[in-house]
Amino acid sequence: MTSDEGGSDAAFEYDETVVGKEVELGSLNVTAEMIANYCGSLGETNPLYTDEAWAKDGPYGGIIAPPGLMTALNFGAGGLDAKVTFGNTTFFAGSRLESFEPIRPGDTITARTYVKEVYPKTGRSGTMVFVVRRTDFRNGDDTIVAATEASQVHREV
Amino acid sequence: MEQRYFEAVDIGDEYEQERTPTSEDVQTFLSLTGLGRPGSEARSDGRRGGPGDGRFESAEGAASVGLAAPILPGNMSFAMMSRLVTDWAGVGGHMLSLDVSFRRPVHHNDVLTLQVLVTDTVDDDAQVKLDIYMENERGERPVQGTALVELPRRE
Repeated sequence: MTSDEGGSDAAFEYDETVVGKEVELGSLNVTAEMIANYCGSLGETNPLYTDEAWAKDGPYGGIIAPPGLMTALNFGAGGLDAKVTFGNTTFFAGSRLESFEPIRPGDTITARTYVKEVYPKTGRSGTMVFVVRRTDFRNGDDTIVAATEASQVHREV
Repeated sequence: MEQRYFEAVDIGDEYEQERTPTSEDVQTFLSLTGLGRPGSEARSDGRRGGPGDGRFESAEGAASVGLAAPILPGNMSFAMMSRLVTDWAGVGGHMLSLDVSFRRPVHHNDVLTLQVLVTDTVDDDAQVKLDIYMENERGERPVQGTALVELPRRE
């Protein structure tokens, strides 16, 4: 598809057929080590995530994962490619996280994602094309524990 | 860690913390995410760009995408803002949602002030709306956003 919509003079192409088509990214087992590494890289001190002895008597009966962990993990695949033909590089423009249920060490989390929308936008730094991808994270009970919407921008540098 | 209660929160309340993410912190984060691996985000068109080009690890990689110095992955900045909100809320709070926009690059060893501003409270649900900012030592705000948090009430 070629588009010059969205109040922008951007001419770009993308694969419209991937929009809304959900695919599985993969599953992974959340481990205590994974949580500790994530916390270590951030200097995290919240005992909900770092102190097993404290957490055992805390609100969840044990350590849980910080909510941001789901945005950091690599599930192995990147989802369907919208094949945007615009610019010469990409940057992460923004992200939204919704946290529904606690994630615990030992949980197997499965991620499914789809391209929600593709649109151009022109600002002071020029024209950019945004690809918004929504991902749901489910635990072993098929309960959605978290969801993210991430925006990737295509631009010329 | 201080527990924050809904009744004690007022619109206009502020909170801040300082962070200086080092190159070592970035490497630890990258090893968790796999973002530093070449091809971790495959591009079908063969053009340059995308994680795996070294922008997070080296001056050369950063320069290849027009950056002055290696930067933090966006999801590491996101994780820092998530930590800001959960620290503010305390162990009995629950971060329901977090929206973050990346306006400028965040470089390794930037001295960052992370800030919370209470913008609204919803009494029926004991929920609090927050504006959040990351400000560097040059006075720029490379990351900003909003969060919705549920807090416990005093017994």
